[in-house]
Amino acid sequence: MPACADFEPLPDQGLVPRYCAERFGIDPAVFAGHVFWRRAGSRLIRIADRGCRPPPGVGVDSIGMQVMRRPPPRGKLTSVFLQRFAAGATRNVYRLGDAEALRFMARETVSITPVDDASGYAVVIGPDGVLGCGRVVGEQLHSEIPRAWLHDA
Amino acid sequence: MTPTAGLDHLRRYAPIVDDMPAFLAAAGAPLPRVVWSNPLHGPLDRTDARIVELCPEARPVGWRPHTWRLPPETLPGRWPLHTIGGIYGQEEAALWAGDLVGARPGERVVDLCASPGGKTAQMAISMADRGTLMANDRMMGRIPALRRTLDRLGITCAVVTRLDGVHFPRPEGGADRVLVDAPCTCEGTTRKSAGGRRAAPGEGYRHSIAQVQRALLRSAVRIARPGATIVYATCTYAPEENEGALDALDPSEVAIEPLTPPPGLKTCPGVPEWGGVYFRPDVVHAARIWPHHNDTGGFFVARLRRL
Repeated sequence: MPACADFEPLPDQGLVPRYCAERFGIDPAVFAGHVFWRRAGSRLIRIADRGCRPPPGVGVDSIGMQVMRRPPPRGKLTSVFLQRFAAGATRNVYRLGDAEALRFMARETVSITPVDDASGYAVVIGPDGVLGCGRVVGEQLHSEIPRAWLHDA
Repeated sequence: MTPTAGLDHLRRYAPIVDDMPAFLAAAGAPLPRVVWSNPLHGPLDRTDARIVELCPEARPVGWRPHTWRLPPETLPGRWPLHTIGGIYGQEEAALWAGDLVGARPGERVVDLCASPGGKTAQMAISMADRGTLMANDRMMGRIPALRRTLDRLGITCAVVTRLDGVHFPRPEGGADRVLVDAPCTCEGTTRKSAGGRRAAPGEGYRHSIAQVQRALLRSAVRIARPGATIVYATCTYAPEENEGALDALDPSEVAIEPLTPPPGLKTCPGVPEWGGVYFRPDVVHAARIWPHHNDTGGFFVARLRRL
């Protein structure tokens, strides 16, 4: 996969799938047909369709979808990445009803009973699908939904 | 304010509109909201059912599957289903332009004026999110909205660039399809509750934007490979910005293809003459969407074949 001026393929293409499998039980097969990229000179990771070729010699603002700002295990997966790829997650998953989902999307904290690893990042699923990334601290599920989304409407 | 207040400038289109009172009445009425279900989010039937559950007044758009018309006062942008990418809200009249590009999986597609990304997203979905979709917009301030649309809908086949579309570099081998959703005087957006343009555009602005439109079209012809599809679209009625822009193209380089609108969508042909100026004969193959024919905004679209 040829690089462009601003992005290059991530040297270890298994890095994100391994983390997703270990932490969330996401089948690595969901990433088949995609390539992980990193912005040149930074730790930012993105994912794009394998057939997506950034043009060489052209300034590129972004390619595909942002995965995380820095690599695992410290990096946090973006909510848009989880919405697209985490529907089949089996570990550290929290399912919310309508009212709790609305609160979570409003960046409010929701009370939960911890499962699996008991703390850290989680996949949060609502009635309409994956809502995004949460963070479990004790019996609290903190919303990691971007503030900017509150202004989507 | 009366519904038709501020719309007197639209009377210049009396020679080309079939029913001026109906046109003005529609151009001043609130615009129904339209949303479509995103196949990248999940099963379309499930999303469709959820739309009806959230808005029982939702009615299917007859000419396009998985597309729903909602009452003007509905705010689907506040639904979590919207925030997580299940649906996208788009003006109904604009939808056909994105469909007409006919993008296919694995192709190289260029959207020269992409933000806020509705038609870009339509094309990505048409490509099954596979291939290279160059989503370009010259305006830095419009890039975040474009990125948010692509991210929200789960699209991974797009490369976002911030270049002047007039000088957009030709992809190696040329683009398979190019969309020019050109900046325009936006006369067809008078029905939007927010952001709609009612003030009459100045003639100086109309002239300068027409020059930009012609330059963008020439750029699209330059970057398209032989046989490629180019779609030109605006949300304005002005023939100077529509048929006039097509007329400026070299007929030996591009042909304007006849269009067959989907059943249920009423369109009118491009006008062959305006203000005493006669355009190339095949501009009649373009399509005009008038607000009173389908209860939508106004739109113009043409599909060209690179020769």
